[in-house]
Amino acid sequence: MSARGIGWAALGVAMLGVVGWRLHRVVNLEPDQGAPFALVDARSGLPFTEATLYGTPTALFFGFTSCPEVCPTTLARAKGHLDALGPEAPGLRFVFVTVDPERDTPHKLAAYLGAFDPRIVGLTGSRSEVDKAMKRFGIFAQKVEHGDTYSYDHTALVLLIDRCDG
Amino acid sequence: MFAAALALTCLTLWTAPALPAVVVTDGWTRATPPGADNGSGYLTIHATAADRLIAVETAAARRGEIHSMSMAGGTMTMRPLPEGIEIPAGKTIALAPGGLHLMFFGIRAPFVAGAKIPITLRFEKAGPIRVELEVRPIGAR
Repeated sequence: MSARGIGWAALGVAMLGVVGWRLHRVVNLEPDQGAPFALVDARSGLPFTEATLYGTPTALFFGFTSCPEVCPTTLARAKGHLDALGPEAPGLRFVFVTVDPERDTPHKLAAYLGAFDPRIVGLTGSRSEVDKAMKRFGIFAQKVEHGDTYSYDHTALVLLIDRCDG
Repeated sequence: MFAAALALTCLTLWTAPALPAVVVTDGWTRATPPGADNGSGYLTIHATAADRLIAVETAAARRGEIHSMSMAGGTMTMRPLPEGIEIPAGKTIALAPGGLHLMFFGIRAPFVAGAKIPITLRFEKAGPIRVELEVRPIGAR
């Protein structure tokens, strides 16, 4: 728990009370759990790595834009929570990472998330970098074929990550 | 007079249309964000005689399917139900967020809040039933 970036713990009961996620998981990363990842912020095009998480409490969710239910409802809740935080909203960052980078280009992801709330950060990247991020955060995702298209079964928990500056 | 009334009553009973065996109510879907390829649909089915929902079609999407969704250990799992959904006699079956739902792959245009999406449900016995899904706001549940 001593090293920076290790032992990311709960945002705290107070924050959970504010945010009120029905489904959430407290992340406690071990340094040997997966390799560092390098994703891209869909809107700005800037790189987003584990170090980018430092400094701002983050709610992290993995999904995909073709997801019919759990992703849009979670994003709508995220918007509601950011609105409820009012002027304190910049104190919580909501990040949506696609598990489907093949279809979720930066442009598509940014347009999709913008319909919910432009404050929601979208991350995508190469398949291998997305896989690394999933492993780092213990996220499961499995492609399921549906005839000429596909969807993903995926972890649908919101991960709460503290400022990681301890 | 009595005979006339009786005759009228009989006539009324005889001409009264049979109540539909399957009634579908409260159909809705949620508005889709730009770039979303798929939509889902929810509704309530009540059958006075046992039946089975076997298919869904709509001009608003390339393909409609009947799906189940479940959450276990924090993982969302979605699967098609090729056998459809059994509707027992006298029971009400709800297709609702978090469970049974209609799935629309390849929507031809975004679903816009306030609009109505016409769909056709196919039942094994009752045949096709046309209903409209009211488009509720993005993220509705």
